[in-house]
Amino acid sequence: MKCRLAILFKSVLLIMCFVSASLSYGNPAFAREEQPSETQVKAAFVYNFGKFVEWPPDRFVGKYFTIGIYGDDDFAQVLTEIVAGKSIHEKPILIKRFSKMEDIAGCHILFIGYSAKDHLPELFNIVHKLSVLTVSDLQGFADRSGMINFKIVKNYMRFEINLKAAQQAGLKISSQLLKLAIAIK
Amino acid sequence: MARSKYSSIKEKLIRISMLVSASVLLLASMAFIIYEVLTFRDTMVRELTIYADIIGINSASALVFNDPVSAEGTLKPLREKRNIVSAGIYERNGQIFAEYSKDNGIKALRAPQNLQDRTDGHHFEGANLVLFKRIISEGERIGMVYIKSDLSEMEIRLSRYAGIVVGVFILSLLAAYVISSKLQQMISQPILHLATIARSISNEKNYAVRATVESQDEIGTLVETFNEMLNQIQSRNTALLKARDELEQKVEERTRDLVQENAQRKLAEEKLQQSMQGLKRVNTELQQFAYVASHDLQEPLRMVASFSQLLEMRYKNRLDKDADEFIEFIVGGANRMQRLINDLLSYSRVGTRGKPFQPTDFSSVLGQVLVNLGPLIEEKEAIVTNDDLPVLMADETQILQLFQNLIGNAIKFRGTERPVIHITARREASEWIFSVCDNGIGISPEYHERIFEIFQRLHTKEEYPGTGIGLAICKKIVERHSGRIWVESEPGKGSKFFFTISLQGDDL
Repeated sequence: MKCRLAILFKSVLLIMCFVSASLSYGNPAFAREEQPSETQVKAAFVYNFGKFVEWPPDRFVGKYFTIGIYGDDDFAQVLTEIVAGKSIHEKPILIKRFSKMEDIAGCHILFIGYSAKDHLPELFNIVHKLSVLTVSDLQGFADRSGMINFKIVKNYMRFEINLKAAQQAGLKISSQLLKLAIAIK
Repeated sequence: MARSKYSSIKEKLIRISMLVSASVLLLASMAFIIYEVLTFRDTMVRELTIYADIIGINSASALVFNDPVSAEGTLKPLREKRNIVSAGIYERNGQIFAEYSKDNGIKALRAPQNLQDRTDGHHFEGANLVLFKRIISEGERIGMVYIKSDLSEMEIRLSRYAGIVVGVFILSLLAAYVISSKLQQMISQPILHLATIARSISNEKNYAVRATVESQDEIGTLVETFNEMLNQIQSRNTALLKARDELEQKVEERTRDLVQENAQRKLAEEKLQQSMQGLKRVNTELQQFAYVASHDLQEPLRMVASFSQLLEMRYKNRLDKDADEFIEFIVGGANRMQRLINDLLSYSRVGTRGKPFQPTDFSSVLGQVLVNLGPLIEEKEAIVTNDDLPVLMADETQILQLFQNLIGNAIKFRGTERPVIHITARREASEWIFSVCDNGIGISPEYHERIFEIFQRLHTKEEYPGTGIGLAICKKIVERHSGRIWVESEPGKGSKFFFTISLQGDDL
């Protein structure tokens, strides 16, 4: 009698787990149920970077907090999902996709994808007049004039920060963020 | 006595100050400690909340960027707080992200239930305080901080407070003692001074001494009043002494006057004695003279009487009628003269033949009188009654005479009815009052004094016989017995003769 009850109990538990797992599929809040993809992690990081950076006040008027993406459509998709309903610095988030470099304008963060790999100098030219936080997963991004680039270290998503570039653009990066960076240029 | 009074006031004052200080301190300390005890839990919670807040802020980035190492770093400073047993940072899903444990070995952290639903809160778990605080970034909950602390720090703090309180208490009491011993002088010093002065005045009776006013308060007023009192005492004292001296003077004068008066009185008394002696002598001489005279008168009188009677016998019918009448007159006159002289004799004998007083039974004397007057009583059909009569110191013979005269008179001077005579006696202070009451003819008040004089008669010898000496003899007898005799009577209403016999010394 007891055995049967135990079996019954365990099976119910299993079913519940499965149900909750399926329910949580696609919900980034329950990241543990389902291992997040690398893109998701990067997208989450990009969203979070916004919390730890201060833009100059004249650049921070406007209703939305804009994150622009150039050169990585997958990333844009994932990012859109992740930031749904969220806000940074109390501004609702607006995602802009740029297909052409010349269109890049009016965003606070700009994620630069692999497609821009060979056009970085022109890109920096366009953005350096603007106070934009440039983030990328291209290696060596921060060694050039990029501000943050991702780096995977021992299975952990890490990032490097080019503080000088950020300061030149008029951006203030919180020490909280800086201390997590694996390298600061 | 002065010393003990001094220290007890000092002690009292010091004790009062100490008691006040101690109570005040105690109350304040108690309030303080109670407040601490009541709020230490809140204080603990607040402290831990602050730590949790700080940790949350510091680890937010580590959480969002999934850097457990950095998160652990934010927990490291907790080692400085010896009361924190363990702490941890949980991810959004309740998984432990970073943890700290005081003794490094024991991982006392386990995922608490329903972490997602938990809000900020704390609870006491045995001897520990457990606190949870959400980590919120940009309005989004990204994790939870957990801190577990034991209550040792608070207990240490409390015991330190208690120690300080006790220390302050003791020190304050010491200070209170020192200060109050100095300050009590302000009160006790003037009092002691006053007490000393009062004692010295009472001992030496020197009322010129005054106490000095040292303070401006009720004690000062007391000292002033004390001095004022002394002023009054002093002035009264001098007044008293003065009065006393005057009085002494007056007494002296009076004494002198009295002595003088006394001497004068003595002189007067002596004179009086002398005249009394003289009078006595005269009296005795007179009595003797009366006695001798009447005695000596007897002899020639007898001659006349006897020879007149002889004449009458021998020559009665030989001479003429005139001669008979003349002889009758002579005989009658001589007889009367004899009687008068006899009466006079017996009157004077009252004094000269008076016997010393002996206890005399008045009842038996009365009995004898009635026997003597027997024939007369029978003849006149008189009724004689009497009260009980006492036994007194008296001359028996004379008392007999007295009663005989009075009762004889009562019968003689009867009215129209049968004579009823009653004799009473009653004691009054130091004398006996006797009375002889009759229902005879009575005596008019104008004669009440005269009847006691010698040879005073209110009636002719034809109406009633007698020489008129009876009552005079009665009076002399009564006066010899230091008494008085008087009458109450009215014509036709009988008479009451009263006489007193005074008691001679002891009662019988």
